[in-house]
Amino acid sequence: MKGDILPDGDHIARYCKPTQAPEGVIQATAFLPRDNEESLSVNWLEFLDCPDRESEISRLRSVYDAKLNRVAVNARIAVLKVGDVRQKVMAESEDRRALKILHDPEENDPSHSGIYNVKPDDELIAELILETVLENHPARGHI
Amino acid sequence: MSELQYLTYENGKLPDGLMSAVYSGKFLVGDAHGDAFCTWEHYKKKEPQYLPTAFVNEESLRVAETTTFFQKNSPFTQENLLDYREDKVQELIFRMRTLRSDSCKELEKKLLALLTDVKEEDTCMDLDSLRDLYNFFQLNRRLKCPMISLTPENEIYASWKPGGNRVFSVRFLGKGKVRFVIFKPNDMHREQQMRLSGTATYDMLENIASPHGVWDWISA
Repeated sequence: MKGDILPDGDHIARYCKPTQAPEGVIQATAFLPRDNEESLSVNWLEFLDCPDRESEISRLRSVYDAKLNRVAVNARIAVLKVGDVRQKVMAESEDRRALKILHDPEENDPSHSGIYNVKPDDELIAELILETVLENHPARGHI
Repeated sequence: MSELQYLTYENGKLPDGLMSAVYSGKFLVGDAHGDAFCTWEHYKKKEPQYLPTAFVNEESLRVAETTTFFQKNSPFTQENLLDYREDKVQELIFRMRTLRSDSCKELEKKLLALLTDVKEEDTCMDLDSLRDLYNFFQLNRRLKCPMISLTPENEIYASWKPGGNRVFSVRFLGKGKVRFVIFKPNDMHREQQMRLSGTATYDMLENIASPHGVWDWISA
């Protein structure tokens, strides 16, 4: 439900544009919000209720297909663990930043969630989040 | 100053020694030595042409710019401005090869790949940011080629990660300004990591980062 805190043991996925993942390697720029964004958009993987990671990623690809004008060929999906992100940033940021990862469902994207409390000029926080990325998948399936 | 006339020119180029500026939607032509702009009457008989607005509003640049004039029907559309920016970005990327180092050749390839990606998003790299990247590498030609990505505002983000818990990343904000991040092992307690961040100008980065050993691990 909107505003629910995601459990630390659950996972989130972040869509990374090709310009944020050159040569398929995800960079910290994938974890910087735009100037007018309140949070970093992510998807709550356990909410998708799929049997395994492969089917979660496949489901996400369908979500992106439906939601975005087009999914770029070289776009990537970063998978992170909620607890790792929160704890890493809290422990290692200069101001002991407390990130909030909240469910924020949308009409065509019920697993949509957001990482709150990251600012557009938080490069250090973005680098810390990057260090917690567990997996990197292509955002487009086989053509 | 006499009444304004439309600027016209032959073969897409102004005669030598002339500058131009935008004024109230029309173009003045003046002497390159700084004399007051006056109307240009010699081309009255030709079809009027326009210069892109962004071109004539350029501030003085550290990097010398080529003066290529584009013949367009209207200089004020968003599409024309985007085309102009893309051309300037591409031109600046190609200039990387003039820096004559292996890492700059590699940087050129990476930037061209990024340019292809950003065009698919119907947007463009930030030209001021790219210019600062160029000027930074002009000052520091012996650096290894970093990973290059774009921020949500399409500014250049350069990142060196040689391993061993070391990161040096620089966000080129344009107008000479940068924000940087340094991660490195704590010299007194190697099992711990130091993390620093700050704002500076690109020409100060070496002074700031060298005491932390950064320049050693990002230099070729």
